[in-house]
Amino acid sequence: MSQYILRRFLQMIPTVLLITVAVFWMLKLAPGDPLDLLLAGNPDISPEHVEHIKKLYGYDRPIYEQYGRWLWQVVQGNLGYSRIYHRPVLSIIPDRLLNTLILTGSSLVLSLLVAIPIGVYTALRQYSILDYFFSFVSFFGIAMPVFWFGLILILLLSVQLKLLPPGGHYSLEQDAGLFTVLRYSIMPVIVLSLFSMASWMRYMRSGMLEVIHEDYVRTARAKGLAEGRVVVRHALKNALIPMVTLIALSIPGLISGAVLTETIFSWPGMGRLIYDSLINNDFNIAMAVFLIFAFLVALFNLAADILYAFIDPRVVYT
Amino acid sequence: MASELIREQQTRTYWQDVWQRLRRHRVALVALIVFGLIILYSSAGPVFSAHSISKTDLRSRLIAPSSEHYFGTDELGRDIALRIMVGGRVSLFVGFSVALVSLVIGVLIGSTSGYFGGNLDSVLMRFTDIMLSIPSLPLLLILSRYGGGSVFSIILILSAFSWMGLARIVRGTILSIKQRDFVEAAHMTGARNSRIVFRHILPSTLAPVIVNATLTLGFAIIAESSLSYLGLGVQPPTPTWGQMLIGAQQFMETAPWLALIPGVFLFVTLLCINFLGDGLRDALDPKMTLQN
Repeated sequence: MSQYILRRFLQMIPTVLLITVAVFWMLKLAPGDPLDLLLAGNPDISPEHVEHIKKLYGYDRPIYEQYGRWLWQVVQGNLGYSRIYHRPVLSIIPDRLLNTLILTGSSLVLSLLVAIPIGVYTALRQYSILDYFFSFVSFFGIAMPVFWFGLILILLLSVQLKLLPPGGHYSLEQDAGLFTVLRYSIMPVIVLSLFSMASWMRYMRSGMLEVIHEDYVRTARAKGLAEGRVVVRHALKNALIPMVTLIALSIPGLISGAVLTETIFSWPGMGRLIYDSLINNDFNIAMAVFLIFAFLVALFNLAADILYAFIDPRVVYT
Repeated sequence: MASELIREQQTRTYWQDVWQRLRRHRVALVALIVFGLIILYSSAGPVFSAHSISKTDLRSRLIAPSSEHYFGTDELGRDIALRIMVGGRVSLFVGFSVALVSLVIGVLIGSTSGYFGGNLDSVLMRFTDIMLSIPSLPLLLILSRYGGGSVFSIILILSAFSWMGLARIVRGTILSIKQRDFVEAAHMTGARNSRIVFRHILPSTLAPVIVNATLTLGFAIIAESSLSYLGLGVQPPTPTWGQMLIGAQQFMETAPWLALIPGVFLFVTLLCINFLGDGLRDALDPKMTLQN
């Protein structure tokens, strides 16, 4: 088992590297790098000075060499210096990462807490009124653009009813008690959860419908087990297995959603950070954020595979 | 009487069956009609509008919906109804184009991968997996710098991140049918690979591909509007629904229609596409029987 985990862990390194290579190239080749901006802002700058700056930052080297240097620095634990914050990237990341993990983590948990019970219920009461109702609700949730849902909630809860702050982060308040934290987090978390909540509801329903007609469920009923026990211990347990993969696959989408959510609500996380860094041409920050995103996705995939081996005895890991 | 019924059953083609089944699916039918109306409104509407798309008029800024401007005006005094129509043209054009380009890329990669198998298959599918595991929005933000926000460049960029689902579906379907007897028979008669793929195999993948292309259309419209909302999509003065929402947040208290109207159009369009996709999934499935 530990050998399997180790090998899968090593396999994930080339994928992450490949993503950083691609992102590095795209960022370098995109029009409007800091040097272009400098030139545009000051046309009188002397060619010698430009050459000097190019040399200083290694811009005169071929891209693969620049990438090699960047990677070598990263391996040594140096993510470079931020152009806009004038601080080492490493000192900016931890707070931001924590905020994003809180946001995405809570919305993951919330989505599961809502989607699983509703999915199970609608599968058990197929074609009931509530089944149709939730089916409609899930269609609405899937079709709703994240940023518009955010705007509507702000319009309703902040502007009209004045219940919640329209954005920002609880760390800016003096007393960061539970109530304050909730007041600031509730809208971003709901906005980010909506899509996964709605789609997982449907997956859970169809997953449950698939197992509920299996022989082992009928056997469990036939031997006289209570219905609740049959549903939870025999059906639900098996229906949950594919959900593990589904959650791992939805991580990239959750990160994309976090970029939008954090931008709308001015939530100081990684998504807001990468948006600001791309707008302001902060190369080192953009690379660092992508590196972490790539690692997060890979880690979740790995975790899903390992979890699979644990919960599903039919899976043979080699 | 009975023989007439049988004759009628036999003369119906697959597509007539599909249409019959789609018509039974009431929600999908309503979605199709509403979607059609939105397309009609966007494409033909500007002809009947008395307003100018580019002229700004600061004296008539932020007018609430009224008889002259039934959707009101924006912060520069432009008629929102007209901008909705023109923006709808752009958003829908981008959506349909991305769906089409992704369809071509997805079918090419998926069928190559599924039909030839082996190392080529592993490489292509590994590539597809990597593309799927990248959070697309941040990457789209980088790519949007290339091409300077023209409609054409946005279509290309979005297509590059929308083909993976289609490729996987096509590959999966091809794997399941390439061993079948009729493909074997085509090989025996000496048909070339391209002929077998295009004439014998791809038609069988049509149903899942159409459903998936519909969902890709929805994805593309959401992605374009998200990108435009972040200010990195199609650049002004060309409006799109997402882009019209950029300034809306700051006028939330005084002019809520700025946020409501483009959003409602976006949301209803996406809802229609999703319902239509769901209806098509059932309608295209030959195993679904028609109960008269």
